[in-house]
Amino acid sequence: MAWFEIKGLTAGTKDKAILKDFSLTVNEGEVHAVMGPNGTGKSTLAGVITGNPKYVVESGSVTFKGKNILDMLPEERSWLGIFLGFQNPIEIDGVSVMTFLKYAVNAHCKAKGLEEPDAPAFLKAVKEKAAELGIQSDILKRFLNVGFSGGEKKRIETLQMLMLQPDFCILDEMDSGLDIDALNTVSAAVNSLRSTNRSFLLITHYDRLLTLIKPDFVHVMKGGKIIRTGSADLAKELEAEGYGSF
Amino acid sequence: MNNLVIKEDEEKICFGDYSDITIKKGGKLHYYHIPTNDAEVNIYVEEGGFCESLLLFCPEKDECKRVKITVNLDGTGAETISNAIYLLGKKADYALNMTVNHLAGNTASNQYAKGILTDSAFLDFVGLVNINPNLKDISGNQLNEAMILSEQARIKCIPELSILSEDVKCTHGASLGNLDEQQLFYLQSRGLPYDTARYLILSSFTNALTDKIADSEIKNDFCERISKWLKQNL
Repeated sequence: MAWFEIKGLTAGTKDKAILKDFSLTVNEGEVHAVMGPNGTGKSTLAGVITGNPKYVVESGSVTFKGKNILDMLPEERSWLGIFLGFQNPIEIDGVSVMTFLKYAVNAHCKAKGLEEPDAPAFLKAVKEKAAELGIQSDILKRFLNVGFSGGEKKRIETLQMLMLQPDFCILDEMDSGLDIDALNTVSAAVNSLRSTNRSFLLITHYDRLLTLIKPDFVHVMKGGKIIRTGSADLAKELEAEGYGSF
Repeated sequence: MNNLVIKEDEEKICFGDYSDITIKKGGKLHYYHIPTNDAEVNIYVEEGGFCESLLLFCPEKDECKRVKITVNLDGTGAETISNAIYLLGKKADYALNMTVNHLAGNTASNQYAKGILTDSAFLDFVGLVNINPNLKDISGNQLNEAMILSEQARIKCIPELSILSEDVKCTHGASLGNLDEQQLFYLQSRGLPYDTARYLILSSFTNALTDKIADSEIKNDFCERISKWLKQNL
């Protein structure tokens, strides 16, 4: 059985199937990019893998590390090592970034039977990683994503990924809302996480991201399924010719 | 009944049960109260005075209670921020009336109530802003936000404005809602169990008001009571 495998997945909202007989295999250490026109189901794919309740699975399977994750709660999928960097991170008024990170890290420690980090060690780790990402310390005290710019939201998503050290990172349009400097910073952070036992699924519209984070495979999605798979060069082809020829 | 007077240009933080509070010219009061019985509080703010108040209701038992807080902006330049947090569960039956009377020109008021209802709790809420005739430069804002967590819980909410002057800027509104599914999902996707995610969202709902408490001891007391109520009632 593959490390991460989707087989014959049909899923969507209550009224409409968006992914249609979708299949994908990702092995440990690989970086996959999924590209495709708007409305083709890329974000639905990310939502179904991570258990977003707004999506309904009609048929098919999704397995990770040999386990059927479709029966799992979103938090159980997170404990297993799946992480989604949201295209539009959710605002939570009244919860500071630092408080949220502490809850998340502690929840992972508890699920894995590990001791929670003490406050000074936790703060040090957050501040070091925030500095790597160019996040000002005052942002850590602000309420989660409330009033943040697009770039700040994506940096905070990346900070969460660095803190949680997930095994399978799904990044949904992490390049949207980022200026060139921010994109370089965030891409460097992603590249620093690349390893033989961690994989990435990058959802993007643009080749620009894939020149900074070089994928092993590029998939083109249309009509709810993958219609072509190739190497990193496929992204350049798409950038030059668009999706019209598919 | 206890009366309280804030002297001219004095600034005070007070906690407790008062029936009449007078804030003299230029005085400032930050007033916090957790009513344990039926209560009626009348606050009089004189010229240039300021009153910020926060009432908290988080009963542990089934209770029927009637509370009214009235702020009278008596002098030019007087200002009030009148807030309330209500956390009602089981068969709690509350009536809360928050009234602001603009009795002088160049006065400003902000009323903000927010809370959570669950089980079979009921809240009868009236938010009233009265503006006397022939006044100029008046600002009045009023908002009630409620989160209803059960089908049996009910709120009757009347945001009311009585405006008898023309040079007035006023807003009023009320919103009812449930837990946001996507907020819950976001927290769960980071590993927070459902119950923890729910607790965090609900406790954060009142943070907008508790964060502004001017005294750290009172703030901690309010936050602990809210946390205890949430743990017991969710």
